[in-house]
This record gives sequence, C-alpha cells and structure tokens, in this order.
Amino acid sequence: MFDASDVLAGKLLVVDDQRASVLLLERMLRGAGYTSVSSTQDPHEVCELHQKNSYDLILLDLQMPGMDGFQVMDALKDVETEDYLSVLVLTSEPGHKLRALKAGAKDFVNKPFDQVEVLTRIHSLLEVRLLIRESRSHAKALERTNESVRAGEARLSGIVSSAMDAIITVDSEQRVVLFNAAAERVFKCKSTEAIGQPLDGFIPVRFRAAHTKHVERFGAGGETSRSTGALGDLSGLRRDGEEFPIEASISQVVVSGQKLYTVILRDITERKRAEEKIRELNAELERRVVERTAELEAANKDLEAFTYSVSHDLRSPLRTVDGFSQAVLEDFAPLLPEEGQRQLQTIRAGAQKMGVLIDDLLAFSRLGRRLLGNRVPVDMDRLVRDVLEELRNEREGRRVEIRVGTLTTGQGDHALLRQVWMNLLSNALKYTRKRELAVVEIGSSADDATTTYFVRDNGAGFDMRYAKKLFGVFQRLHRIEDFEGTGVGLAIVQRIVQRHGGRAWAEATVEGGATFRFSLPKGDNP
Amino acid sequence: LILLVEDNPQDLELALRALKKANVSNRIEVARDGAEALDFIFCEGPHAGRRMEDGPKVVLLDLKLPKVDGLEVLQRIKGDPRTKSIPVVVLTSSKEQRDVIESYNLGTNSYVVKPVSFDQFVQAVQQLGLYWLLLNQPPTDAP
Repeated sequence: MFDASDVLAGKLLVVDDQRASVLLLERMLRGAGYTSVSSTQDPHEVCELHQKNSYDLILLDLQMPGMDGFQVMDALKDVETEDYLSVLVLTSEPGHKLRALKAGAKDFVNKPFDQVEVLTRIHSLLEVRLLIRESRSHAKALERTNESVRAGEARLSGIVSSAMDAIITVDSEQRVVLFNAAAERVFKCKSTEAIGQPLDGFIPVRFRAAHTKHVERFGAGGETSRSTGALGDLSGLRRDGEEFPIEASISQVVVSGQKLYTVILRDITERKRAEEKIRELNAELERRVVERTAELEAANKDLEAFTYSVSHDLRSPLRTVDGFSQAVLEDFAPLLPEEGQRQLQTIRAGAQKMGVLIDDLLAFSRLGRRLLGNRVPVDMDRLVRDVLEELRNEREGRRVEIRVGTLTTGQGDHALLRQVWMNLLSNALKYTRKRELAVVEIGSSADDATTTYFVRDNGAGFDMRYAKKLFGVFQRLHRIEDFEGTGVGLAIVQRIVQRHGGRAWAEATVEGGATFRFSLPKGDNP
Repeated sequence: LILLVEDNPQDLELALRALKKANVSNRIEVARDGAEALDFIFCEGPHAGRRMEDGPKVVLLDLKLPKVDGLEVLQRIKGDPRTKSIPVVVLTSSKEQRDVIESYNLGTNSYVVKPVSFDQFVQAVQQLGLYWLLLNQPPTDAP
C-alpha cells in the first residue's frame, strides 16, 4: 500500500499556454505539499517530456494555440507505455468536457477553478494512478508465481510419470486420484480405468481389511510417511488376477483440507525369486559341506584304521622274519656255510629296512592327520642348537664345520618345526659324509610377510633336473649304497612347512653342495 | 611267575626265547587271548582253583588280542584292588600315540614298542624282565 507522502511525491506536469495559469497552479500545488511539479507552455514539448519523465499526472489546458489539448492527448496515446493516460483537463468550455473524457482524459476541472476542488481531484487521480501501478505489479508477481508453479507441476508430473516405482495417490475415501505409468505397467491397468476406483481393487482380498486398517491408523497418526514393512509380506493384485509380492511405503499430505495418501510401491517378484534362489543355493551348499565333511571324516577314519592295522600287522611278520633268521644264526651257525650266513644277514637287513620304511610311512601319514598345534613364537636359534646337539653322533670322528648365522624367531608348532630342522640338518650331515671337511651353514632372511630359513652344505648335492622329485614321498636321488634313507624326510619337511602356510625348495649342483630353504609366514606377532 | 599274553605264535616263540636268553628263570604262563589272561589273573574258569595270592608277579601284555583286547585287560587289572599293584608292561607293535596315551591313562607301568629287529627285541625284553623281577619281587619268592 502507499501513503500520503507517496501521493505528494507523484510527478506532475502542468501544461498551459498562459504563463499566469501555470504559475498559479504551480504555486498552489507546491503549497499543497507536492514535491515534483514541472510545467511547460509549449504543447509540442509534452510528448517528449512525458517520454523522458513518465509523469504520474498531466494537468492539460485544452485551449492552446498551435496544438490544442485534444491533439496533445492523441499524441500522448502513442507514447504512453503503461496503457493508462493520466490526464486532468482544464477547460472553461462546458461543451469540451464530454469530448475530453471520450478522448481519454480521466477528469476535468472548470476554469477558473476552485482550489479545493482542483487539489481534491488531483489527489484522487494520483491515488488511482498509484493503485493501478500497484495492482499491475501484483498481477505481474502473480503471473511469475503461477509460472513457477506450473513449471514445478510439470517437473513433478514428469518425475511421477517416469518413476520406476508405481505411484498411486488416493483420497480420504481411498479412491484412486493418481495412477502413474509404472502403476499401469505393474497392475496391468490403464490410469483412466483406475482413477476414481477404490484402491481395494489392487489388493488381494485377504489383505484388504488389514490394509484399510493400516491406512486409517496411519492417517490418524502424526507421521508423514512410513514403510509398510510392519505389515509383513505384502501382495498386490494385477487386473488379470495375478498376485505378486510388493514392497511399499505410504505418505500423507493435506491439500485444500482434503487428506491424500500416496503409496509408492514396487513389484519385488524378481527379487523374491533371486532371494529364494540364493536360499536354495545356500541350503544346497550347506548340505554339500555336511556331506563332504562326513565323507572326509569317514575317509579319515578309514585311514586311521588302515595305519593302525599297518602299524600292528605289517610289523609282526617282519619280526618273525628277522627274529627267526637271528635264531638260526645263533643256534645253527656251525652248520651253515659262510655264504648261507651272509644270505641270512641279507634277509635280516631287508626285514629291518622294511620296518624303517613302515615307520617312516606311518610318521608321514600321521602328520597328515595331526592337527597343527598352537602357533607360538619359536626360538629357531635355540631349536637348531638343540637339534645339532642331538645329532652329535653323526659328527663323531668327522671334521665338520657348522656356521650358525642369524636365525629369526619363527611362528609355528614347536614340535613340528623341530622335525623340519632335524630332517634338514641330518640330511646335511649325511650328504657331506664323504667330504674331508664338511661345511654346514644355517641362517635366515626376512621380508615383510615371510621369514626364509636355509641350510647349506658342501655335500653330494643333486642334479637340478630332478629337483621336482625331491620332496615326493619315497623319492630318492641317490643310490642306497652311497647314502641310506627311505625318501620320506623331505616329504615330511614339505608337508609341515605347507601346513604352516609356507613353502620349501632347494637348489644344488652335483657334487657342489645343496641349499635347502623353507619360508614361514610371519604371523600376527612380528 | 610271569604272565605273557600274546596271540601271535611267532612273537610268542621269540618272546619266550628272549626271556630265556635273558636268563629269566621264572615260570612263564602264557595266555593266547584277553579272555584267557583275565581267567588266569582273576582265578576264573579253568583257573578257579588257584588262589589270587599265587597270581603273576609281572604281566607282559600285547594290545591287539582276540576276544578281549589288551587295553581292556589292562583296565580290569588296574581297576581291581586285588590286582592293581601287579606291574603290567605293554608290549606291542603299535607306535600309535593314542595307544601309548591310553595305556598310561589306564595305569600301565611301562610301554614297550616291539622293534622289528630281534636284537632290540631281546634287549627290550631282557631289560623289562630284569627290571621288574629284580625290583618288585619279594626276596622270599626269589628263584
């Protein structure tokens, strides 16, 4: 709204060829408080001045020489931008009044004029002028608002119609008022058929009561939205009668005093199917694991029974062979030629060798079944020295130089790692037996994740072409006459190291010595 | 009196030979299975007339036996107050950990794995025989 000062600030132009009239009017207006009053005695100037200053009111004398008031008004119509000609005419001829109004003047004043009348009319006209201006700006603002609302609506409807999820809005009577394209697809129903229909038509009969109650409760509560998961598994009903699982959420909003509920839902048939499939696969997997575990347990039991019986039954006949050969040698030696005695000794050696083979095989097989004990930090330096001490007999009467370098503490099963060192070190001593000076080096190195230990000797070595066979059970790369053994020691080393998550390998040259290495993961405590 | 429980005739012959060579002159009673061993020890069946006090001073026990196995025989001996003080030496082919542990749990006094080598076997038996007979036999019963 505007007040009196706005009116007094209105821009006025007095147009009269009579200088006296102009002065009179100017004085009168200024005296009444108007702050922006200008004037001209030349009617030809009016258009230009108005274009420049956009007057709020023009006081126009009708009788002027050269260009009268009517001509001025006609000219003003061409330049008026606001489509409102704010002109008050001054005339002494009553006959001109009607003509002036028809020509577009908004009011008239008789000459000579009454001051109060003139000021009152001017005030009124300025008020009208301001009101019109204000209402026009309101109209413009309204137009802009409408435009943005329309744009918003268009955006929203674009979203609704292109949404992947079905969107259905119902009124407080639960009748459909909006049914988007996805809803049409999901329910196989045109929106034109759906609008106005009760929502119940899209819900399987057995769920209808619960659903209605749910919506009512929701409507009564203060929440604005909620997922319908609380209802458990939900189903929708397609127009063709097919039921399908859905997932939905509901929201409420009050528009023009009317409550609207919007349900957003999606068809989860595919997902349910996938979930079911996963469940089935999991169950299948579980079943297979159970089966395999049982199979493994059975196999393990068989193996155990087998080794147990080997342990008992296979050794017993060997004892017989060896024992009775010995008995013959003791009791009947005088009756036997020397060759016979030698042959009996060979029989005994064979039986004893087989006994060792059986023992080694059983030890190897036990290793497979044995659970890895607690992994503890193992002082490898101490362990190696213990083992070397135990192997003292091997070194007796020989020149053996043993160099123990830095040995990093390892992580593992103490007893098993002891076995690894025992096998590697006894090998090193065994295969250097023919050296005048046997040299055995022991050490370790480490990177971020693993520690690698090695045993290097200057013994018989082996041909790298057969390196792959080295760690196989009962694999030997040397003749039994040169070096005794069953070929199980390195297989045991490899198995133990592998069970610790490490690996074992070797490099060598024939008669150039061998280096055996094994790595162990560093484990949790570095 | 030594009770030797052994089902394998060859092992039995070798054991007897070994005991003889070890100069063990005690009388040796032989049981060929677990049931026989129990009858003898507890004076039952064919041995019903004997007194418990005249029982064996040492039992050499194989584990793998027909009818009643060695571990059960061991359990019966060690579970009875009348016989639990009789030294029992388990003499077996089995190196299986579980047999060793189970035997000691049941109270065996010693566990000897029969080696394939007869020499070692003789040695083992000699040591056993001497050890138990010398240490546990009351002087009055000495041969």
